[in-house]
Amino acid sequence: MPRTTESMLDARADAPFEIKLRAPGTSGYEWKADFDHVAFSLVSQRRVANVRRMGASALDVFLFRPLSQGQHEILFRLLRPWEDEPVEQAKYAVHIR
Amino acid sequence: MTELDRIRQAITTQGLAWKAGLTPIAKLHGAGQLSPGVFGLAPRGREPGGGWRSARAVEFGRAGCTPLPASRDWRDVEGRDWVTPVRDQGLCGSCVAFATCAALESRMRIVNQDASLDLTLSVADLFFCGTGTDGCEKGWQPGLALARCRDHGVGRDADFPYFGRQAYCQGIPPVVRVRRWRKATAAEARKEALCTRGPVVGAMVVYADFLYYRGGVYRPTTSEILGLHAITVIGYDDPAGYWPIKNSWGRGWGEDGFGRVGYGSTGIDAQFAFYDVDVDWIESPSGRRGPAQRAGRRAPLGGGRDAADDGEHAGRASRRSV
Repeated sequence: MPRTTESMLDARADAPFEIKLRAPGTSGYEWKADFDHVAFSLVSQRRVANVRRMGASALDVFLFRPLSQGQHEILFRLLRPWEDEPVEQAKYAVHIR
Repeated sequence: MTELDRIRQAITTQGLAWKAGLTPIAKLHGAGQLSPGVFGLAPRGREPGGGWRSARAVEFGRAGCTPLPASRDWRDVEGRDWVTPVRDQGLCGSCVAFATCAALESRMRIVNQDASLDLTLSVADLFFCGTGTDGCEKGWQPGLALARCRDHGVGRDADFPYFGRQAYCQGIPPVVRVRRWRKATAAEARKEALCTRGPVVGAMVVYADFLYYRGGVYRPTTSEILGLHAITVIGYDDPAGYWPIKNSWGRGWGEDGFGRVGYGSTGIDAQFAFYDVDVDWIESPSGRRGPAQRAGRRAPLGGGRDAADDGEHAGRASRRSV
């Protein structure tokens, strides 16, 4: 089983929110988000890269727009596109007010 | 539309000659070896039976490179594979150490004129002893890695294996060292280094679609940058216009772990130099030397400038006595 971290987040229903995850540098891994598309829409996903040192870690930044109030979950999986299993997971319990 | 769909559409729209996908080619072809002709790669491989001690000299020195041939790929020079197996850096930003060790391993095979030379260098020794306790996060630079190889040498992987995550330095005995290196930046100098002396340490900008590369001559379809990445450049190909590279993402990526990066793309031949390395065995305390010296052979290595040629490190530490 991959290592899983758990976090909680409060967000307003009328405002987009960001989740930032540290990503290993140029190792082929990227974070992918699994979530209920009735609860959120993913506005954008971008990498904030370190372009000073080779292999340096980066930030993967996800911008979500809430679509419905209540308690929801977003599961991020760190994996390579050509591999089946994630090596790490980050679970966010999101409360939309 | 998925990310993969977007990339495939961009490849078609831009008329590019590479394939994007999710399924490792290695899985498609069973045991992991490419079938002959897949993506235009010629069959290659190591001679059955291992060691090669033929008295016939391999004609890959300067004589074979004047004038420079149209292509060179060290996976198939004189019918032999001088490139060591692809490895996997895992979750750590250790690409510089992998690229450096891979170049040194190939150069040692070439120096010793032994394509079967069994030498797997310790990436862990080079990287974790060279970068400290946060190297996986911070990454590295080729000039610093080569300075480490010059001043301390590198040990064997068996003495300090790599597991893909941050580790502590263990201080193992070194077996090879870098004597000197030079940076090749002009196109002809890059090819001359590759042809006459062997694989080099190179680097490139990694774009988001590179993760989906499955074969062909890669050129980015996107401007989204994931970071800077060190790779080992193992040849060149003028007719098709690409640099064959050895990556450190395991054999599931690309063409069995290798790739072909188009001339003029990703900064590989413009933004970043090729590091042309002069490598040698380290004499053990008992006075025993490696095969090159025992056999009385010397490497066909060119003259490089001494180390402090790239501004990435200040001064020189005292050289290990060998």
